[in-house]
Amino acid sequence: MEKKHVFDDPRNVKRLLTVFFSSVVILLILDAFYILLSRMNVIHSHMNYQWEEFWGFYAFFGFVACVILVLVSKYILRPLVKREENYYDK
Amino acid sequence: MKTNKDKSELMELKHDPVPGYKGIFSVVFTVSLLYMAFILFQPCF
Amino acid sequence: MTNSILPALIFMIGGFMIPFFRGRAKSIYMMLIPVVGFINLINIPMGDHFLMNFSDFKLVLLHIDRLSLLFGYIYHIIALITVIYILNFKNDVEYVAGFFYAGAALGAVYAGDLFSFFIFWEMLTIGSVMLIWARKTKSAQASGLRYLLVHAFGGLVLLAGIVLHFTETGSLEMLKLTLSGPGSYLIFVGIGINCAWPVLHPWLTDAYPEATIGGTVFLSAFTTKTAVYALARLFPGTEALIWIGVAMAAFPIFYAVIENDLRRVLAYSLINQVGFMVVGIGIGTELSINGACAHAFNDILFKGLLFMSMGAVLYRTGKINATDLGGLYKSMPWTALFCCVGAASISAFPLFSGFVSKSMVMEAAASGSHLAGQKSYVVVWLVLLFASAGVFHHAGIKIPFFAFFGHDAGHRVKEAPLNMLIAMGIAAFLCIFIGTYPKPLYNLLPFAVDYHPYTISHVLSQTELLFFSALAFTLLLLSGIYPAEIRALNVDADWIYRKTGKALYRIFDAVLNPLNAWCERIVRGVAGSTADFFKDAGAKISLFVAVNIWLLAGYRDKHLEIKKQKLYNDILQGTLPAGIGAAVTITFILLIYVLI
Repeated sequence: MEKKHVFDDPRNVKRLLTVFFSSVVILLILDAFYILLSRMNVIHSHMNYQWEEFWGFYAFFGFVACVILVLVSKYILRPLVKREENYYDK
Repeated sequence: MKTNKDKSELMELKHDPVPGYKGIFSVVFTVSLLYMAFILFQPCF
Repeated sequence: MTNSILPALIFMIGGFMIPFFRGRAKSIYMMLIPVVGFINLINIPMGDHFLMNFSDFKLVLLHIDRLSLLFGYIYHIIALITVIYILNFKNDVEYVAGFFYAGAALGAVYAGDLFSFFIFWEMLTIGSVMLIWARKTKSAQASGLRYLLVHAFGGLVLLAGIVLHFTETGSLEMLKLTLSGPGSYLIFVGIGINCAWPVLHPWLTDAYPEATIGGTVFLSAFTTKTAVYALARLFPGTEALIWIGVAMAAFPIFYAVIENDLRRVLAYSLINQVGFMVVGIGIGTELSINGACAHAFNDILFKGLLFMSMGAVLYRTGKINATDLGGLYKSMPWTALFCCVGAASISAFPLFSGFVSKSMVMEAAASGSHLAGQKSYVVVWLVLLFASAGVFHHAGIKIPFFAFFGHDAGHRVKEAPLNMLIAMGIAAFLCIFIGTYPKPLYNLLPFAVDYHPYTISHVLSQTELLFFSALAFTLLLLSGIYPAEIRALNVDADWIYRKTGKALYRIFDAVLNPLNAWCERIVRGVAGSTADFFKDAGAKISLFVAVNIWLLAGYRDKHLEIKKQKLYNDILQGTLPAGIGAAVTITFILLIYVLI
């Protein structure tokens, strides 16, 4: 019988996912606090664009960017460029 | 070149959906997309 | 300076001596070369050394300033790490080629004039091709040849540029050039080929995954970074570079998402990272050039680390496709850990090296966009932000996930050999060290640094960006939308020369070969029928004459057939009674005479 590894147990995978999803939510809460504190001039915020002042700008940008990246790769790029492995040898 | 393919080598590795996540994904993506569009339509300076 | 040696020569000559050593002495000797080189380097004062007058040309073989020193340091460091990594391969070709290649890169970086720069630039090509061919597979040979052809062409473009530039200006100095006149444009493009600019890039994604396990680590460090150095030296602040860099940062990530060969995924992300550096050089402020150089320094380490971890996987399992891998954290936990460090560094997680350098380029682009006439830098900033999220997605998550976690492919192998683990450990340590304590790196940069990466807003925004990229990956994977890994080939710009080359061959094949066959058929047909005709022409004419006579004489049917057969055979075999023979011959001659 082979040794059981960490992610062989579905409960551990579930735990990891729970931790991850919670940290995502916590980050958004932290961002709200950050905006609040910088509005009250408690911490200095360095901004280049007004966009950055919106709550969760980087978070939503990262999420949307990656989904678009994957969707474009899957539905546009792959049908265009995918060939058989021996395409160049034929 | 690779005519004698190893039987153990997969041709395709699919990712099976876990039930329930597709709905979550659609909601999160739609909301984020609208919010992002809203932000980026604001002036940047 | 009199008792110092040219850094390139230590590597090249030192490398050629490797085959004379055996066993443990060989390993120690190989590790000593970069160490000796480094000690030699830090004892050379700033300025120009090894001046040579070569007819009209003033050659400077060793030009030391802050920019060339920075690249020299990292080249020594990565050479030492890579040598430790390949100690167990016992392949002299790889050793000698690796040191020759590293030496050529050092020579190019320290060259103080365009001519000696060109010489070392060409040596770079030779060394790298040897590293590809050392893999000894059929596909490695083919892609090595393509690599050689592309770089030979690039070298010619560069040489033509240098010659034109010299005739225009009469100077060979490695100084800032402006894009004016054919000479500077040719130099620009010649460097661009080695820098893997879009459309000129496919040599990289074609050849790097085909090289030997250690060869790819060497390759990832030197060719493109030497080109980045040359751009920083010759073309800082050239606006075209910004847009070239933006394209480089953006397009490879799409390919990386659907690529199955994990070393090719890394090759695409290498172009993406070089894109950040090229943008930095194009912006041309002190901050952005510092950022480009710092990112080159860090990229050599974390990209080397990622290629080493994938090399270890390939070494132990013999597989490198995502479809054949997975679950390796069970049997190669240390390699998995080091890979994750490299992945975190390339994705610019806080406390890892990418964080302290990539952000300098981003910051330079953002603050540049506030200047008059540079509003378009907003687009640059947005695309770079997109690329930062994307790089985490494909290099930061895809590489470790498909190799070490995810679907268990059932490989139960040994952990990577100790020397590989040590090499990866050193690189991983440096990634974390620079990430947590960037001051030593900042002190080495070409310009004084007034930049603080660890502000609350930067840490928070970067963490948000990365965690939500990870969220996108997780949700896409769990909802089954994430594209399946497929064993397939994705055509890239190399289609232009790989397929049109073949197409030309096919067109010639389709046009010329049938033409050839057709001509041959005609010639054969004419010759054959002529030969057939003359084979028994005499017999046929005689028969024609004789049959008419026999018909008049009243021979019919069977009798006639027998007589015809006999006459035909007699004529062909020459067994005709002499009189008849003579008569027929004379008739034949007469007939010809009448006809003519």
